[in-house]
Amino acid sequence: MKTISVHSYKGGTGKTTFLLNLAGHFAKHGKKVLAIDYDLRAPSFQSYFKIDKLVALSDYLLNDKPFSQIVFPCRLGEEIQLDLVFSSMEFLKQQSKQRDQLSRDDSKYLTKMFELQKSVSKNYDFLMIDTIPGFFYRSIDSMMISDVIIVVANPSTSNILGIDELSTNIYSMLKRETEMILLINKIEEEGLEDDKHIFEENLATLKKLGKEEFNHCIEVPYFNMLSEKIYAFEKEVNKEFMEVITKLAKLI
Amino acid sequence: MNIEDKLKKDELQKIQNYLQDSKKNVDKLKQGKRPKRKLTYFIQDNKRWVIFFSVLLVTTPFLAFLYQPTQDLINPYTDTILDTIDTLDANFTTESGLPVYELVSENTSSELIILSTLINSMLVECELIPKEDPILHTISFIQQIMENNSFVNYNERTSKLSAFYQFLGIYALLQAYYVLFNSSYEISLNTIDLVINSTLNNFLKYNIWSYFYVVSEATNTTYLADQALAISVLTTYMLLTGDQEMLSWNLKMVVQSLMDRIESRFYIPYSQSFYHEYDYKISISSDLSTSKDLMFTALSLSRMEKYVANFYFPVSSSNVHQKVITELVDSNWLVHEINKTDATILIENQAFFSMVSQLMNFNIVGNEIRNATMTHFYTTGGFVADRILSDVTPESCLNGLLAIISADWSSIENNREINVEPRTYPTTTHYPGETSAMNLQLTLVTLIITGVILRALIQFRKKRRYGDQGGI
Repeated sequence: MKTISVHSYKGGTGKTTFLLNLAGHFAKHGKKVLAIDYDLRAPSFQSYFKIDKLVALSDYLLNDKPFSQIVFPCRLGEEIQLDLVFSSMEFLKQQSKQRDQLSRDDSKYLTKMFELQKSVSKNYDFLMIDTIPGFFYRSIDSMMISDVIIVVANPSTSNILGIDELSTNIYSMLKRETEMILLINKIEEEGLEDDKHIFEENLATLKKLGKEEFNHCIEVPYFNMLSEKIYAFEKEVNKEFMEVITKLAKLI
Repeated sequence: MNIEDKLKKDELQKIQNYLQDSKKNVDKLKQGKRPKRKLTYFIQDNKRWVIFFSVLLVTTPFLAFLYQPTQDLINPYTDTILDTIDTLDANFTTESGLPVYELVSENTSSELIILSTLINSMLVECELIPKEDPILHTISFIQQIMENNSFVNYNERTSKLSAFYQFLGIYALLQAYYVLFNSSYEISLNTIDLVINSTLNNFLKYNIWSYFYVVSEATNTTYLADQALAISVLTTYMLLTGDQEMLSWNLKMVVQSLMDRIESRFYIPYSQSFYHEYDYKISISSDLSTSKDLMFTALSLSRMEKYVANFYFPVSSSNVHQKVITELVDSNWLVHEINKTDATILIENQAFFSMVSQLMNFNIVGNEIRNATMTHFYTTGGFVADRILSDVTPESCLNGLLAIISADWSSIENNREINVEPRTYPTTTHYPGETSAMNLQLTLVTLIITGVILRALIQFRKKRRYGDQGGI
């Protein structure tokens, strides 16, 4: 089983979209995939899937709920199966004490994730983890147990500075044992479209960073209608986008 | 560097530290080991248990102090002891202080004088009777039953006592030495050396292989109890004085040879039991061990284990002590002579087993034997010698006292011994000094744990109040 973490410096870079579409792509090609929403700050799997009664990842991490109770299978026909683990928005709003527990530099959660990975390793081909953007202990946990780390970034100035800092402080320590892929998503931030010059300059810097600090760098064309769609499950497919996903899948 | 930069740097440092630790932790997990976890978080996650155990730890020394058995400090039978001493004074001691069987005839024996010296010395050492005349005079009578540095019959000065009483006499002399020190009856250590020298010359036999036996005069038979008592007394002498060379004797070699003889002539390996006697002329061991044989064998082994580094014998002192309990002590804690069902139950055996158990630090057993002796042998005014023949004799009174004061006296004796290698000696809380040290240790551990918990709780509260950059 291969473990893939998707990380970014900031939210809104398309991290979850790429993860779920890549997971869908693998699933469509007959692979067994488990996708985990470990973005405890801003869980977003629920935007893609409707679910009535949620038992979340935090129940496994904090309350020792058995893993089998937090997995939700998502089936499309007989061929496509994608298993999902959600994080809860309600939990974020209500349980401040538990949130504090999950935010500390406690190796307990690394152990829990390692155990989870070990227990599912025979049942899946891919374990895909959506992480918390930025410098967070729980993101480090998932990256530590990963074989591949996909970093999604857009060419905004703050993102470039952040990716640079992440490279220096975190990625540089992981890249010896882990395959690192930088995915440059040319999504435009508000205000940037007014200054194409800065946008191009940032893009060039990001590409340079990708070349120097990462094993692979993929440039994603600008798409306007990506959000909350998993093309593997759709009838109408965005060919350009799927080309990027296929390219990414081949690298993995 | 401004505060914001500093905070950022600190946070990055923390992240890097966590990353480094996580690398090590993943390696451990891959090897099937549990990774290190910060104690603070462990405590926070298990707050209830930590508080419970802390309270337990804090209260334990105080509860132990409050509920410590009072008999460890004050003998519960002090009144009995004083009554028995009065009985001995009134009925079995002459005006000159001589211990006797009858006041009218002043009939006495060397065996009685040895027992009187031994137990009266113990009573003085335990401060149950004051260290002054006339008791010191009574204790000093042991010197009057010696001729040419051997213990002799009180009435027939030419005949020597048995080997058993020779060595018991040396033990009594050693106790008297401490009590009579700096008094007008003082016994010099040189005197004791001469008595030991003379006893070894008279009672120790060689065979062709230069091994030793302890043998009473005019007999070919050696007894296990004699060997064992000799080893116990000589080892105690070495433990008390620190000397293994004495005049022309190497005492350590003597006791080791005696122990070898016990192993080869008295020990039965397949049943882990012992013979009672051995005829060295015809090389035949016979009869199974009696209670005295086993009790003194246990004591001799325990003294050897204490004195000789890497001492080896096929069974340990505690095994032999347990054998006495299993085979000879009944459910009422009465010590029988040969097996649990025989009718012979003598106070002498109760007394010796109480003393042996306490010297070996089996305090609970010693206390049970003491309580049983009190229950079954004490009548108003003194102790009886036998449960069937209910005579109060000076010997039965002295034996009763020995059974009852052994708990107090053994701690004095054990603390006095030097060259202690406490391998086979489980520490007990019997001694007030040890209890204080243990309480101090417990208190320190408690303080440290309480400190760690408080620190963790304060940090936890701070985090909650001021937030955490790493918060989700």
